[in-house]
Amino acid sequence: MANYEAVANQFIEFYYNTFDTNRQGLISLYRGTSLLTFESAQTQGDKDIIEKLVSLPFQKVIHKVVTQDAQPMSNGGIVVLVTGGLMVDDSPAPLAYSQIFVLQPDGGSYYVAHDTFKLTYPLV
Amino acid sequence: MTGRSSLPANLGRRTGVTGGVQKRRASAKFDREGDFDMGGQPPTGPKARPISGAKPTRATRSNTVPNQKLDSGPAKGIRPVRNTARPPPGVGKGPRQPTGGFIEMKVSGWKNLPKVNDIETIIFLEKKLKEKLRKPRAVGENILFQLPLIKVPTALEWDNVAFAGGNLRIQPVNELPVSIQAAIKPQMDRSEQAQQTAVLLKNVLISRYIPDAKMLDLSALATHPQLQGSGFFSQESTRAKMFPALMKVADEQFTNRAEKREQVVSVNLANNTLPDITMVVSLSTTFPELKNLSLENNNISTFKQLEAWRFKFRKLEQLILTGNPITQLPNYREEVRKWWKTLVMLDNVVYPEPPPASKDAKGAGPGPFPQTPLSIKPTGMVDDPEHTNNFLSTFFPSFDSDRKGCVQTFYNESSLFSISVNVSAPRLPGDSKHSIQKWDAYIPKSRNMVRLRNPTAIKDRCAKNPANILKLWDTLPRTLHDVTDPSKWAYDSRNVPMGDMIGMQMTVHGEYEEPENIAREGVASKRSFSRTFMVVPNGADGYLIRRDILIVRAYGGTHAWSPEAQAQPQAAGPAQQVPDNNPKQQLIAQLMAQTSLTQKYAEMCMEQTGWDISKALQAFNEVRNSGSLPPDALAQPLVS
Repeated sequence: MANYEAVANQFIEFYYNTFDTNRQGLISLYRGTSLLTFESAQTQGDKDIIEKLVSLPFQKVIHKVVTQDAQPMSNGGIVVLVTGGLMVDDSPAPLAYSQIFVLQPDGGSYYVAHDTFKLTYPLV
Repeated sequence: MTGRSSLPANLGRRTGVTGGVQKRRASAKFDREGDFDMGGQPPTGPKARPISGAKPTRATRSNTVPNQKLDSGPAKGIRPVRNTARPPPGVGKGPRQPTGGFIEMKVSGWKNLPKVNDIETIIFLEKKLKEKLRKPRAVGENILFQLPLIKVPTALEWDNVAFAGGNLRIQPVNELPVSIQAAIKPQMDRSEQAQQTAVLLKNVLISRYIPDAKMLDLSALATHPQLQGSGFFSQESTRAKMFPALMKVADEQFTNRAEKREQVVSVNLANNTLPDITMVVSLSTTFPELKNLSLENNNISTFKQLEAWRFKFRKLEQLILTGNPITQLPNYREEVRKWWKTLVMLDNVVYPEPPPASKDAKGAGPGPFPQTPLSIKPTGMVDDPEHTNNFLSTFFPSFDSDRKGCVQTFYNESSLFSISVNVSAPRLPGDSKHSIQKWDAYIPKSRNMVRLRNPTAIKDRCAKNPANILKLWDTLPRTLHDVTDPSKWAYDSRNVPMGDMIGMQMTVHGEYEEPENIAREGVASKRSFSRTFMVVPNGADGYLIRRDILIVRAYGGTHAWSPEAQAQPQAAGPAQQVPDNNPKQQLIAQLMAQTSLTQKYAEMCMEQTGWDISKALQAFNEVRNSGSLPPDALAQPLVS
């Protein structure tokens, strides 16, 4: 895993593109052991995670990634911390969020072992 | 714990015998562009072999066998342990290979590859198929060999596998029998297979549970006839996954912790050739209040190999490590007692002095950090509240008051730290007091890879080892984190394996002040931050931070996670007139995100509960559990 930064960049781009256009398509990024913490809700396993993501109550969503930082882990994994804004349906004000991914290598590709999402918007 | 429905997917994945190194599928997203293959390997479900190898007729065998042999070993072991139910000798020693005839296969495409011959091709295939090829021989363009019928579907998945610059075709010589054709196309439904595996594991548990002794006898699992047939022990990788799966099934047999405590008092893990506890580590989460544990006759040789259980099993009274090299270590008995202070007996020898009366009496406790943050605000899962609290409440004050001491205490030579700044995060409006947007001190170190494209800078701004981390910290403003006010914090903490230890993977959201700014500008500037830590235990009471990523942004308050944020005074007025960025809308959005309620129902729910998100969630749960939630209250899953 020579260039974890590139993997992180490509992953983030692919992840949010897929999220914003076809949430169902994210299933290939998770495994049965993957854990999602979405706000205070816990979900494990690719099928359940996708069910959760797909059932989020908005039709249209656009992620705007503002910052992203990544570090390699000693086991070959990558931890990525992202902050940005979430434009939901036709709401003009983005909801600020932080999201942490732990990516693990799996036979030449990577999957999401942990995914922790938190809204961090201020009261306005 | 997560929902039960996750089990089938989990098991299905794990039992895939050849799942680890599957040939890439056509669905890979980035393959054509280059090296990135993020979506390229949809994992496969279990293959037919393990399931069909298990003989369902054995499901109740162990329950009914009258001539259970008593453990014939020397008279040691906690009492219940002796009553070991063993499979009859000879069972399970048979060949793993399922019967059912052989199919003649042919491999082509190797002959004109410049660098390889038939032997190398055969070796390659045997490695891929995890199967010794039967009667392999080169005939013209082809290598012919025989394959057990049941392995054919797996083998055909490797058709067209890349090899030495070419692709190998793997095909049957003759048309396949109808039975096997069916197995190739529509592979058995994954969830169905997973269910079968779950049933299998449940049967194993039932057969190994000794109600009188309240003991789960998981000794010598490899010889359990059903597990043997399942293929779990056919290779190390699947073996490693069997135990967590078994624990998961065990977990499902109980509805709460009290039930577990009542019904499983002892667990026997003797004779499992365990080199450490990695494979069985989840026992401590499934049965945290275990009183008796036997690891007799395994291969544990150091304390490090037990590390993951060090802070677990807080009610353990008896432990058996007899027959492990660790018992030869100097001060072995004293050390074990230090790790599990409640122990009364080790290796069937009673400790002379009783355990300390109350563990609560010990130590100063986790400091001023909130003991039960989860009850105060909705955050995610905290696997180990005690250590999470302990870490957070010692780390941040240390970071604030003495960064040099902090870096020496919490970081080592391979620790990494980086910081980035989100200068465009929404700030708290109307907060002129703290609304300071000067980032001069942070920008030169900000490792925001969205903006930063220079590889050297990206590399340089990730500080490795205490000296470099301190150097970076020295350029940052001093900070003051208020660990006494739980409302300012939200965090998740998961226990995850990190190398040979169990570590905590933590995400913290909060705020801090920059006290130096008071002198300069007359106000205490505030920042909001999110920070992710990978932490492992370090010595007796310490923590080592392996990875530390910090993101700082404008002060945005704590309303995103604060349940007190709701009650806005001017609550009157129809919702339509409220602008979108109104706090009510935020609360509605939050409730919608957490419950999948539609906007209409989320709003109704908020109104009825006085715009209190925690009350709203409670009300939602009550209504849902009572089954009276209107069908149109939940947003339909988006069909795409």
